[in-house]
Amino acid sequence: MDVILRRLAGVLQYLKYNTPKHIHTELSALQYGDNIPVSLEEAEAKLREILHNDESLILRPLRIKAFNHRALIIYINGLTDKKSIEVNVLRPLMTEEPPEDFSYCTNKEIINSLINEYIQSLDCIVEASLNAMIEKLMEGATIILLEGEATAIIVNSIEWTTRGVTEPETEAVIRGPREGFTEDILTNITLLRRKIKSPKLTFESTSLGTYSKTCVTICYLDGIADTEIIKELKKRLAAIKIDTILESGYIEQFIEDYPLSPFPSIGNTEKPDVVIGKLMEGRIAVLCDGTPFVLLVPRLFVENIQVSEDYYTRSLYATTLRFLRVFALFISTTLPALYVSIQTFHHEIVPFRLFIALTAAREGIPFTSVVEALMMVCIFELLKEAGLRMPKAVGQAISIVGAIVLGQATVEAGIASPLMVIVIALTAISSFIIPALDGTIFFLRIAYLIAGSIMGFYGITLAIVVTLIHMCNIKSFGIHYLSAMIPIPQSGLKDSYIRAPLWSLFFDNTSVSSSGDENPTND
Amino acid sequence: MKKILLMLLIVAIFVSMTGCWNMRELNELGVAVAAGIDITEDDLLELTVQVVVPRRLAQEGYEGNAVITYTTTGRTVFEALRKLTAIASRKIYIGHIQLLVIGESFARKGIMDAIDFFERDHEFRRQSYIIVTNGLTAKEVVEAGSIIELIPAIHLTKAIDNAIYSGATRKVSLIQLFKETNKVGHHLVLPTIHQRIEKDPELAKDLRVTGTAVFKNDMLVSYLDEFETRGYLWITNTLEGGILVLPSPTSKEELISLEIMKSEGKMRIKKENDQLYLMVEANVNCNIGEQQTPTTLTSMEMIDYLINTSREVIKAEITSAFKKAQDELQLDIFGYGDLLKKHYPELWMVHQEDWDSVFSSLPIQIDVDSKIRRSGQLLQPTLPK
Repeated sequence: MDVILRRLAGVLQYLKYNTPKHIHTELSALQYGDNIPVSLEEAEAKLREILHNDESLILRPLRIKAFNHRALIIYINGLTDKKSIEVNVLRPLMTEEPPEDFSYCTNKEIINSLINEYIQSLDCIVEASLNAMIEKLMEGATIILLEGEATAIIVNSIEWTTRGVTEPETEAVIRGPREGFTEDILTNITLLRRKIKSPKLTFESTSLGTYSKTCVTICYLDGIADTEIIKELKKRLAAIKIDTILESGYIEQFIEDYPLSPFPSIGNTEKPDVVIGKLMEGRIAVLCDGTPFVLLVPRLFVENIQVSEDYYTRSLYATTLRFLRVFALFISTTLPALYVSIQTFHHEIVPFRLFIALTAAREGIPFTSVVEALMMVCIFELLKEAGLRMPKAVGQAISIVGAIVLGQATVEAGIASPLMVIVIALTAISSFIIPALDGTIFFLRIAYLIAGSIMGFYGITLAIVVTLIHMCNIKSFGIHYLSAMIPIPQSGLKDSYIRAPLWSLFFDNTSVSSSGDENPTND
Repeated sequence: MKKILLMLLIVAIFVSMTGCWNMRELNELGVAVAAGIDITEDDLLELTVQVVVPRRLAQEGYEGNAVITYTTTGRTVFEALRKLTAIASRKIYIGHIQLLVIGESFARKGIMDAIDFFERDHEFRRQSYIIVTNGLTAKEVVEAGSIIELIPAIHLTKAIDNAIYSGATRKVSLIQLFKETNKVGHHLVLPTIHQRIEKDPELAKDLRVTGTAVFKNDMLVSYLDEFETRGYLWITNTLEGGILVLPSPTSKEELISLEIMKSEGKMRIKKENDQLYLMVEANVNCNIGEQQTPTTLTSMEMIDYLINTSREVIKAEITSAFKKAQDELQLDIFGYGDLLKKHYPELWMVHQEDWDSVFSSLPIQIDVDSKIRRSGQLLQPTLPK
């Protein structure tokens, strides 16, 4: 017995999850030697070797007319704005007349002269390291090498096609800005800068991923965001050891507080106005190149019932919607459990007429009600998943199969009762109201359903109490997950269960902060 | 580590300590909606239960009642109920019984033999109505079908719900019965159900909910007719509505109906010069509902006439109830004993043992105040010119 308990405790201890361990062993960074070969032929051979004779590596030899000096323009086809290089680099180099004192020039002076007088590009630097040069080349820069010189001129001419700023599909609004982030981090930063014209809006970039070198930028409002949280976020970002980052979800999973909790402790959005709203509340955004999803920390539970539109519509209406969302949260997690426990345990609490209707609906169903409920919940999740993954053209088939075959036919075949179909439909609709918690809600729904089917209302209450205890325990970057909701604070209440009029919110200085919390992190 | 063990322990305690158990799927249950108790000739309890047939409820276009009745006998109610499981294929669920019918034969022997089970059982519904039969058995009532309702028990409970607006009976739920049984200085009065036709009743429409039954302790001793019941309701302030029919000022043949809109009754017990008086005050608001006479009733004199006559009628009803209780039954059915206990506890200590006989000899004072409020949509009746 003692041994079993010890084992169990050991497993639980493991599950508790401490700070992330080094998941990836240190990859041997891409080392190619530090010196750029002096001879152009050698440099060409070296580059071809490093890039495995890639077709898209273009090497264009030329003679600089002004200095009568051999040079090599290197770029990667497709990443570079060729027109701009032709007009601003190639043409001056090949056509401009030499300066007056041309004969005394050393290589260093030629390079200075080229940068200062010939190359007409905004972003132009000199680089002596081969590694750095290759990194820049892979990013899309154009490199000019001179014969007999070990430094390279790097002209930034990155250009590739990006998606335009469009309305995000995940966060539709009726009222509010329709622009959404794109995959390009520069565009995203621009979208943010355009909304706040103040130098207080701070961006700090790092690159993450041994291979991908993805640009990750944290963004906050200096003076509003809590420095402790910024420090903690930077610490966690620096600890990430990964080869590639394809989406901000990668970062999220490395820096979140409770990876095993069903509740997400990091938010994300596709909309610049949402990000700015959160930044003004003292949150910090993490932008990641290559994805329109921007992370926001810390994430509190109350944010699940807040929608950007709440602040754009009148407060009375917004407040009503807030209550509706809390109700939807309750319905979508507990309704199947309540229905099943009423069916199996609590026959006496149903009004008589409804009870008679229930018995009539249940008649002839071969399964127990918990099996029936689990089956219908799973069928709905399957449908939802299929609807997401199917190509749009075949999407209609899903709705036909879902609505007619599964909805109607299960009832007609006597496998599920019509009331169960209504319960599941209501649950499904409610869960769409809070899309951010979609996975959480599904998990809780199944958990409550099982608890309710074993122990009735008592079991559901128990499961809800356990959930609440867990929610009270977790923190997001040192902030209690339930703050602004529990215990009901007077100032926090203005923007949690209700949405007070804006004029009363703006005078309120409450923002997300770890002050007053003795141990903000590492709980 | 300690925390986790503590959590495990707490969860273990929560789970094992209590909880809802006895899991039953709905389609394994036979839902009883009405129960009736009679007594057989060989002195056994006869339990008749009306059980819903869910298959018929769901069946479209089914004509008839979606119920089946089972009858068993036993020495106790619980025994009879358990015997039902051998007859019905499903476990009988009594949590939704709407109507409990007490057969006349059983009521005369004393209802407490059965009431204890209903009070003790955690499942039995306390809101279910209780009714006593008059002139027929409980089995006949429970077995009566209904044309308008799929479930006959609903027909009867609705009939009870509506009967109180005619002022001819009262409505008693089981929880009310428990309360009233536990009160001192007071005797039970329960609603009754009659047979309307000569032959055996087959349908609920052959029955009628009216009048009340008077119990001495727990035994049925007598019935109150509609007139006396109305008097009882005036006194105990439980009248919900009804029609007062008065003779017209011009002719006894022509009648006037007054609709009772609001009534307030008050029982009091008063001591004056060592003499106890039973007092009743009744305040009533009426509307003119109908007239058969051509006279215009809205003049001042006529209103006075209506007020005075309605007071007389109400007084007569109250007097008849007192007469029945004091002279014929010699039982305090109104609860004056309870009032005495509250206001004159020392007198109650004296009269406690023989209160019913003391009650029967006490003088009564009746004070009725009537008001006519409205005359409907007419000021004067339409007359052929």
